[in-house]
Amino acid sequence: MAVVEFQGATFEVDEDGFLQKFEDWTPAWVDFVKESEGIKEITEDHQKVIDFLQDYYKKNGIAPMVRILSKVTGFKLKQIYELFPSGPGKGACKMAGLPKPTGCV
Amino acid sequence: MPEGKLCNRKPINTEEYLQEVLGDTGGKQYYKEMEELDVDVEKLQASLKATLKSRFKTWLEMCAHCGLCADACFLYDVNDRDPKQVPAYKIQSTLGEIVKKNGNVTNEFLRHCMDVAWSQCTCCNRCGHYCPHGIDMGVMFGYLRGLLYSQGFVPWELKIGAGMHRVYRAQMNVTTEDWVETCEWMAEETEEEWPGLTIPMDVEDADIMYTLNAREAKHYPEDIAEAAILFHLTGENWTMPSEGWEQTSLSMFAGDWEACTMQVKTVYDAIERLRPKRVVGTECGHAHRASVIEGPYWVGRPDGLPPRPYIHYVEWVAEVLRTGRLKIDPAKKLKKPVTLQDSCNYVRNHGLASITREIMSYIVEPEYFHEMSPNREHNYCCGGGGGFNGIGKYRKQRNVALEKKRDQILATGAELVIAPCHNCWDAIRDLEEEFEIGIKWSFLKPLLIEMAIVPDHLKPAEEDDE
Repeated sequence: MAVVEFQGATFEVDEDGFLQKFEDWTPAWVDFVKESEGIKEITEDHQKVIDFLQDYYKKNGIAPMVRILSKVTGFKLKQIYELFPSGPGKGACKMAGLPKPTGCV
Repeated sequence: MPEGKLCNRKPINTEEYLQEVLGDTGGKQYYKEMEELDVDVEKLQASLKATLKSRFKTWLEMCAHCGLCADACFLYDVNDRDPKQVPAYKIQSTLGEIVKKNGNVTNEFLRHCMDVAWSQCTCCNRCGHYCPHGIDMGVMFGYLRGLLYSQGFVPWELKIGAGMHRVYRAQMNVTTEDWVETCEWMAEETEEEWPGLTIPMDVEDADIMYTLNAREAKHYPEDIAEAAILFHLTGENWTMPSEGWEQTSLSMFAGDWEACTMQVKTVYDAIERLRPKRVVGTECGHAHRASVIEGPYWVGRPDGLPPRPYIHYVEWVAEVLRTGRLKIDPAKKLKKPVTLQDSCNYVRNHGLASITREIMSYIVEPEYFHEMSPNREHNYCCGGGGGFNGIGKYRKQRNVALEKKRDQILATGAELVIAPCHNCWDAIRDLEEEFEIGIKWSFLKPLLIEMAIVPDHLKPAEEDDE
């Protein structure tokens, strides 16, 4: 199991760099991941997406469809990609501490 | 004969069971339970008796151990030409042993077989091309996967994938309602830029019924919008089914043949219900294999064909370019080094190599198109086929496997790799992340939209007003 250290915190990550345990998520994790995801600064909009993904995952145990993410946050697909260049399925889920989605992703 | 709560011989048939297995992130408990899972020898013997027919028996017996398959296998090559990676050895030391021992094998041995079946073979079938006896180890590995699945020895993600097909008739948890709503949403957002664009659902007797990959609905809805734009631009009379739209089959990678049949039956039912003139599938390799090549046999169709002609997306693209229904702006043809990835599933295994080259001739300036070596039906697997991309347990081995494609791409000098297959696209994205060789990768759809000449009557209203 790989462990990454960032600003004094340690995170266990899986083979694709996703958090091993959702419970380990802290805002520092977002700071750690943002650069590799091509994000300069976390805005309120990023936070809105992250908050929703976490909320949905807590209730459903799986990442939502992009449609649901768009409906709840009010962001159009283009805006979601502007916020998370590597896409909602990978980048946004990774930042929110969700496990890597299974299947052909 | 203990079976685990998560790891057992039972397929995932309920949402509750699916949730439980999903909740075990990374399959920690699942793989622990697998260490204790007994082999049901009687069941294995019965499976062998019922399904091991003369072709595989002959193949296993007639192998001359000549080793010609070794160099055909990219995994042998990238793993320092380890003799244990020779295809003939890989299949003889797994399936061959199970057959020799008539199923009297141990838990440890089946776990070893699982490692070989899913991390040392991508079922790319290249070895079968080079064997002087025509023995196809990839086909036999597919069979071995089925035996292993029935005994519960299957990677965690693929147990889930097969379960998704059983519960949702899609490789991801996309319900009919989710699917229809996603299409409506994409039509609404895309119509802003492409006036008059629609995503017609459940239209009977259309010229084309389009099917795709659940990932496009769940994670990449822009792919649906792009398909709609191109059908719109070419004036196609097309539709998608509200049920039976999912063309892929992770169950095929898992070796869950019952789930394969359930899944493809939904697609064929949609074809029978909507009666399109023909069906076009998305830019996916294994979806084509599942629904066009193998599917007819899974459901027992006597002619070995889908209910209506069923073509791959590249065949449709080549046709609309050839007939001039989609015109490329010559000024926009690609003028940077480009290469093309051949998907094993529809190039080596379904002969479409010339079709993709024909497309290249329309969209890339000739001097900028560089073939990989080898290419066409001799090309190597992307490195992540057969489910390899999606199995966390074998990520290290998969990343080594990517080296072959990395080196092939580097040798072409290409800046852009066109990969009309989801699996290849993912593998090439991952190899760029892993090795940072400075390439871009793309499906055909976004490139075609970028380069197409848009007829005046389809341009946005504000442009007309100018």
